[in-house]
Amino acid sequence: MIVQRNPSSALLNLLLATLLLWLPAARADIAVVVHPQNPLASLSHQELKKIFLGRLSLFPGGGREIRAIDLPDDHPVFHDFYRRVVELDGIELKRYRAYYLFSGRGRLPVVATSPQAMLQMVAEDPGAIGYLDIKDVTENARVIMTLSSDEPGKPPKESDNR
Amino acid sequence: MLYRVPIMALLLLLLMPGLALAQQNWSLSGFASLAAGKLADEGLQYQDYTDDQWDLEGDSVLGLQLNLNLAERLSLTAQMISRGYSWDDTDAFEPVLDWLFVGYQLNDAWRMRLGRMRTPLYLYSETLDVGYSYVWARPPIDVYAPITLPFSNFDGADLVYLTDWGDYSLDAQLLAGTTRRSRDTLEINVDPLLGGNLTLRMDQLTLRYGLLMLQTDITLSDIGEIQALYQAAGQLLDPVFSDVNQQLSANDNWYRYQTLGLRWDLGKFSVTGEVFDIHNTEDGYTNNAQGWYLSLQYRIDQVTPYLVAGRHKNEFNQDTLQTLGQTYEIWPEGQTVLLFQEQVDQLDQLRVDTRAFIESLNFEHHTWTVGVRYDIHPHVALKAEWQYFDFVSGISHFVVTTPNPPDHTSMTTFILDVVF
Repeated sequence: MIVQRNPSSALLNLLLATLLLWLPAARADIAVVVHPQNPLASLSHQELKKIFLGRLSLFPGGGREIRAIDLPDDHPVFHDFYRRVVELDGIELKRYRAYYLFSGRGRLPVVATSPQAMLQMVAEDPGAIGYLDIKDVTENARVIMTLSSDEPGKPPKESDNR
Repeated sequence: MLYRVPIMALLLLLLMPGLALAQQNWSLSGFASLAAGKLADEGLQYQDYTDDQWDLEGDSVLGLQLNLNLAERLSLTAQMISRGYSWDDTDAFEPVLDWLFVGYQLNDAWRMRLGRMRTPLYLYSETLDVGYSYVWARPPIDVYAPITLPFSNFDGADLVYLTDWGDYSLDAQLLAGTTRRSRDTLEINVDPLLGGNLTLRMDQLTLRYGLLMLQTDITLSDIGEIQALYQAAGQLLDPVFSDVNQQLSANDNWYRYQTLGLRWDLGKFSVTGEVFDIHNTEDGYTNNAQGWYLSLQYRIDQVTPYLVAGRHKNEFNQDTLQTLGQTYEIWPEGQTVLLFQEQVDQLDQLRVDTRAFIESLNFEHHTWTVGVRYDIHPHVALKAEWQYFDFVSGISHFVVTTPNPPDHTSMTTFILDVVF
């Protein structure tokens, strides 16, 4: 027997898919994580921004040298994080980073291949700081800051590289 | 010649991005540009560009950078660059070490570096070879002029201070070192090179001021011969010739080099401008220069058209021209007292040649540039640029090599810039 597909349900699916495309992608709560033994009590939004721009290289209060860790740049949390914290993304971020790195100002964050790799790196390095979807956090890392998805976050700046 | 083929091959290979390597304690990254350029008129040359054919080496570069963590707070940075065109005696594509320094983070705000570094003259001096880091095919030559090349890097130390208040930030840098470069018969020795700069960022506005003091010895063997003749004439005929000799001596001269930069980001639209002033702080031999550019950029997603206006003016040994004029009052042309006819002719020719030489180094040009940068990939930018030169003074040592050049020309450049 041939099953007749319901034309109205196909249309509904198409409509739903179109709607989903139009809706902004659901944003995750992002956890900023450090090594479990990191003595740092808290971190401000401004300090976090400076860390990922490479303008702060020691943990506040005479702490250790910081090693920032990035998710891959094709990971949705990467873009979410950079838009909300660093206020730079896309080409502007790339140009800023090229300038920063090749003018001898310092290193760029090391890239973890996945949230799991990020957790592994944070667990092994007392100077590490990373970020990931709060749902992926395990006891191997200490959450020093949470970026709630309710926060509107500032739009990325359209600035030139600096 | 030796390096050309393997480097060009490697350059092409590296145009495939994603080759950067990074580990916890080290990272290897790089940049490359593949360029083609051509001038519109005969008898002119800029870098390797002429009107003959499309040249592929003038702006082509390959750079590799190693960052190494040596210990807590202590790091090493090395950058090797291979350039298709080098200002000095370096061969085409011969790799040179442009950066090699150890850095130590003293505390939250202060960092110290020791070794070889790029001289921080302007907003983009430290990434001059990293085309990806700026919008243009090359930073505007009216300011990023060939006159800056002899001291584009230095061996020494610097101290960097970073501070922020809310959305404002201030960077300060103090530096000291030496540098020595040579090209054909020209040797330039800077010892010491001292300076500092301040960069203030306020939301959309970036302001930068830089000051360098350079004690410079310039040796040009052709000038040496000319000087010896004036010295001899000074002893034999009149001391005024000795004055000319002394004014042609380019040793032990202090230069004061000031720069001011501005960048204003207004969303998609941005403005960049820089101005410089080089001034000899002593009498006698002088080579002063001034220049500026103003660049407007408008970014529409991946495409950024830009427009640049610029000027450059070089003032060379104006005092010597006056002294040379005085020699004619004291010792008129063709005067045969004390001299054989042959020597009279030699002295007169010497004076004519000296005047021509000095006048050729007094020049001014204006430039107009239109171009577009297209970010075809997150790590790759393609640029096309057309630059118009107006040789206001008839000559311009950046571009003109013949005695009777056209009074204007244009240069077309295509560049593919990559970072990896």
